[in-house]
Amino acid sequence: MKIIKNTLNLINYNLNFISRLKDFRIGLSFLIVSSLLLSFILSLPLLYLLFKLTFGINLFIDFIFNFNIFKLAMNTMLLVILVVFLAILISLPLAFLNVRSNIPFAKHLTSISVLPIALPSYVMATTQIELWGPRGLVYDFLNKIFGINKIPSFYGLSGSVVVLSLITYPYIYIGLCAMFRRFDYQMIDASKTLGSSNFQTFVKIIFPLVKPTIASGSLLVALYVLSDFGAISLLRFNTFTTAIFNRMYTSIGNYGVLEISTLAIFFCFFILFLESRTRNNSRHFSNSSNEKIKKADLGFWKWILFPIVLMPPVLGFLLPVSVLIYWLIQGILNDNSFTNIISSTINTISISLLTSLIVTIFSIPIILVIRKKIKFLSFIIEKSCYIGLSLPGIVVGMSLVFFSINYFDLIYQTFIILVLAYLISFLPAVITPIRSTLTQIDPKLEEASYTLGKGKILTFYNIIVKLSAPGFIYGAILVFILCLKELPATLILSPVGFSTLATSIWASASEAFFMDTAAASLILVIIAGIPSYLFMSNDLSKKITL
Amino acid sequence: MTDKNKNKILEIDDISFSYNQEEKILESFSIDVNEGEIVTVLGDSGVGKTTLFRAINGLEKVSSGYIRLEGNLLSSAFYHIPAEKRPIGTIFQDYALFPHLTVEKNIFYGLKKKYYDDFFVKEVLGLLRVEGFLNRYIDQLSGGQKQRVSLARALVRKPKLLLMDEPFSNLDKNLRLQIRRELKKTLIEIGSTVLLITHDPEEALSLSDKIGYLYKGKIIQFDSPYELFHNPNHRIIATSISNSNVIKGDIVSGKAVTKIGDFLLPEHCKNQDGIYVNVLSNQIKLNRSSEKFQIIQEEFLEGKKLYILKDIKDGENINVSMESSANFLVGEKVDIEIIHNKSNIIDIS
Repeated sequence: MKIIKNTLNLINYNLNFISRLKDFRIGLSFLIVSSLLLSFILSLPLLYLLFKLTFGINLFIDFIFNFNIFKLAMNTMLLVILVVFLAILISLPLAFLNVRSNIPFAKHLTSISVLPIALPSYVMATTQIELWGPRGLVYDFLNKIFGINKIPSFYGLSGSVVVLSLITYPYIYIGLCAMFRRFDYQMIDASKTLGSSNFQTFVKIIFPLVKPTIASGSLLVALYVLSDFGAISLLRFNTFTTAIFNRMYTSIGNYGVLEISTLAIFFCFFILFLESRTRNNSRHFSNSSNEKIKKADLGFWKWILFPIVLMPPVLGFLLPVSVLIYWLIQGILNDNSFTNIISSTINTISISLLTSLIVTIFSIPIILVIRKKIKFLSFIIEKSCYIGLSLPGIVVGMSLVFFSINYFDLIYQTFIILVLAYLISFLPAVITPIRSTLTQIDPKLEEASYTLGKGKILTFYNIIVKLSAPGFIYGAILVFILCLKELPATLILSPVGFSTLATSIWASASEAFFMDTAAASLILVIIAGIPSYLFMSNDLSKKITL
Repeated sequence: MTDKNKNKILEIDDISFSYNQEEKILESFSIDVNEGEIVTVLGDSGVGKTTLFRAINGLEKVSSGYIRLEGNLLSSAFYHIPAEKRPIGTIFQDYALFPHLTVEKNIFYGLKKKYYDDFFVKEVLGLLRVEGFLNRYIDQLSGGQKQRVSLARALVRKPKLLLMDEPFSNLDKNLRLQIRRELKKTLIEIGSTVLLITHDPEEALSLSDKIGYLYKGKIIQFDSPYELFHNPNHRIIATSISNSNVIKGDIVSGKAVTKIGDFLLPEHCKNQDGIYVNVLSNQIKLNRSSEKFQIIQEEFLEGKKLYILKDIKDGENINVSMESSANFLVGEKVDIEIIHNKSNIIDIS
């Protein structure tokens, strides 16, 4: 025992000694160099677009003032506004009722309401077309029972708004649930005792306090809509992403691709700017300190509100999954072959796991530099990481194609360029939760660890690593899910012969063979749905402020 | 429980409250607050203080009984005026100041300019010294400033009653003492009628005209701070308020005989076995002459020392408070001498 104890002491002494080495400067220099290199890589698509743009600014101006582009921009803007509005309309009452009221089965409802996030937009689109589209299940039902032979078209703007709202409302809902859990109910009581009615309290107190959470969720929704390609394309609505894709594959010399991409990026930056203004003007409220969550007693109303609360997960998850199961059964009965499914599944899981591992590892030096708060440098590195968040996948894919063909032919159509695209797109998704858990760590804990004799490395391991583990796990899971579903960049950058579940679903769906997508879609939903459900039903989500 | 010379402002008559049918939080609770009085409801955690606070300001409905303000019914089993319609100023435990509004907007929240008394508002703001930071946000204020803002917010409405729930619990000791003094002065100047709800005996004793001790959902004693301190009628009051000792005794030849000595009996006391005597900690002192007790702990009170002794025979603890010049040591074996043998027989239920 004594030998073990002495050895442990010796190891601890050496670790402390190494950690004190030149005040950690070698490590810090390495961190800075590696983070700068990473930020350069992350900024590549944007730098490339800006570089190309400077050589053709006049052409660019002529191009964007073209009527078609104006129409495209209006379509995109209208879609973003309507989807964000509907997603807020769904998620705000849903989160409040599930977290802060005595609605029946609230705990399960909280978890299942997040499940639509697990569905890729193109799967949601195919299943919803099957339900609400011309000759769809709803039409069949109405036709057989009531003899109705015409229903409003699901294609175009209306269908795109419904599909994208159902898939994106969880982005606002998750943040709102976390916010309502720690909302100080005394604020509402105080407002009432100061003479405000329920409505006035909502307008003056609740809404301003939830506004930053809604704004950051809406930002994610808006960026999702701007970058979505699959659903919009299947629903035949023209936006920037569909225009970029169509021009890449149909136009001679990819005419206009760079210009539309640049315009799409301006839109994204404008949305980021709007969100940052809301965040800067907001003041955070103190957490409810000493009381357990008080739930509003809905009385008899809970039974009336229950089916309404059930609607979003039913429409956004249960019905689409039921359609997939229905197709699968039909497919089996029709002897459809599912031979490619196994290889696509293996490919998808392998590339998603690999990406999630790489992205998480690459986030470490960046997180450390951001945490060090080195003047200017930390700011630049942090901002460069978020470039990926504002770039639609199709733009990332397109710019990497141009970049690799022109300057780095060696990596074109290899896994390296595919993983690089994922890294650029998904790094912000892992940095946000890690940074959130890191900021919650009281700096006094580190100081306490030092005063208890632990060196920098052991303190880093025992305090920083262990306490921020939920953030790392969540970030890794999120990247894994995003990777599973990613379509446009995968379509553009995949090595020849490499198919994922997403690309094989797309291959059938784009030819309107919806039934053939059933097996791959179900596998994708199951793989993405399990971690999403576990995350919401677990304490993990309560530890992370999104 | 009322002073007939003064106007009754708040009248709580026999109210009960429960979240479920098995457990009653408040049971047959009654208390009156007269005009200009500061009345405190004192009690430990979990006895129903917060429920009482919420019932008075209309955030909870009562299951039976009545709450009246200036004779007007606010709550009964079948009638409930909502919180926003009650002319009651409320100070919450964590102040509940709105973080997204400035101090000024917090103070004037929901207040229509044409209805408020400009002169009075200026007087309140001046008295509470909040004019200097009206444009700041709440997270830019110190604990004391937050306290003053929450008070100003409640007072500018000229409430008939000011209801305060543990208003000093978030302040450190020095600030608490300072603010308590300032608050009492302000409340007297404005002539507010106050109902304070707290768990802190020191706060209750120093601020109140009357104190009601809340235990198991009922008021078990409603008296002046002096009476509550010197003549508690319940063991729980004696031990929690004045560091008193409740010692078992017997009546022998017209005297209360206990293990630490004999006490005079009050006049109304009947001849009975198994009485309990309330012995204040300053009613007795320590001597080094014998070895019946051992000092196990010494604590400083304000200007005094409180010695906690253990009876060597039965292990029971006894509190003795002495001048700070007393120089007994922890671990020392001592005896007790009675200084004043007037006794107070109390209920032990």
